[in-house]
Amino acid sequence: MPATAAEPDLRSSKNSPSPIAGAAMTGTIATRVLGVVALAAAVVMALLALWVSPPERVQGDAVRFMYLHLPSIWVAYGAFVLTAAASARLLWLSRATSPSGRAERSIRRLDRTAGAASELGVLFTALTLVTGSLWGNLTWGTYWQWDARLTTTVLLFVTYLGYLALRRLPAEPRQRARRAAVMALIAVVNLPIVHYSVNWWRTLHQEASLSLTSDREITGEMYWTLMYSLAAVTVIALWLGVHRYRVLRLEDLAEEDAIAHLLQERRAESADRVRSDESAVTR
Amino acid sequence: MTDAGTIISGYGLTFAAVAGYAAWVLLRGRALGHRLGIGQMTPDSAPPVERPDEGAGGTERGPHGPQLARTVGCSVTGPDPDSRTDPSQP
Repeated sequence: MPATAAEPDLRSSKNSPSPIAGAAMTGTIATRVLGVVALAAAVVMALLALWVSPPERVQGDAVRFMYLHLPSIWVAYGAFVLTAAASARLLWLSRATSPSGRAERSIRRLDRTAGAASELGVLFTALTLVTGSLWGNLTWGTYWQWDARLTTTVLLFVTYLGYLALRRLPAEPRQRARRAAVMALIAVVNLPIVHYSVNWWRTLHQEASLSLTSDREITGEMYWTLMYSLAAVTVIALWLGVHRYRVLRLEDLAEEDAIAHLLQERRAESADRVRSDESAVTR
Repeated sequence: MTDAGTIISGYGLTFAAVAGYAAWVLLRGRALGHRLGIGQMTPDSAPPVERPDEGAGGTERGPHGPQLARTVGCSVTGPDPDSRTDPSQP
């Protein structure tokens, strides 16, 4: 199996001391570098957003929430799309009643990818809601309105909370993965509704600030700060995602370990019983 | 609360949430690694263990060699009392 960025091959480090002694269990040199880059990016992002970027003509300083709010929902969208893509592939691979060993490994990898991505999506959707609410209080004079964008976003958040809860229900791993994958494909239907809600309905929430098709409404330092924030939050999310994926891998191993331990105990118990029966017969 | 206070609170809350989640992920990884006995991988810490799923030539060192082979993606670091050979280490 070729090593991937998320699953570096330990074979390369066999017979040599770990080059990352002292790091977290889920860390590698690559993720440590990525972590440092993410941390530096977050610091620079805060400086740009809070000091360098000018206040907006109408909103004033409240516009600084844009540099948190937009990147958060951008990462959440990406994470949910990744969850759906991994889930679709998982369902495709698990069509066979008994998939090959390679397919089985791919299924588990895809399940972990979906799990890690969805958790990140939920975190960043929550941050979108919180920052949007604070921003709304400054610009609209209220923390919350049941308008189309806000309501569909809350629905998205709650749906994926349900998805995460479903993943935690006890079941046979393959069945659990398939069940979660179906749920992920249902949940992702809400994503375009959230995105286009501001176009489809009259809402308090403004229309998209950035568009690939129309002229951009943000320019200069505000535009570049926003672009930088999008990149910085993406790097942070990537770092979190890689680590979360690896923790899910360890969780799988721990589950296998626990099952193997229980089986060993049962075997030992039955062996003891057979021995005691034999000794009773001999007496 | 003033506008500046709200903005600072928003940024503080966001960064704290992300940092908290990152800390939880790292600590959970560390705890699981310890529970599985994935420890420091050194040349002398344990005899090489054949990796049955990788064929000839595939060996890993440490008390959970085959597991480590499967645990690609997780660094094999941190204290592992079973595989430690240096008595000066705590």
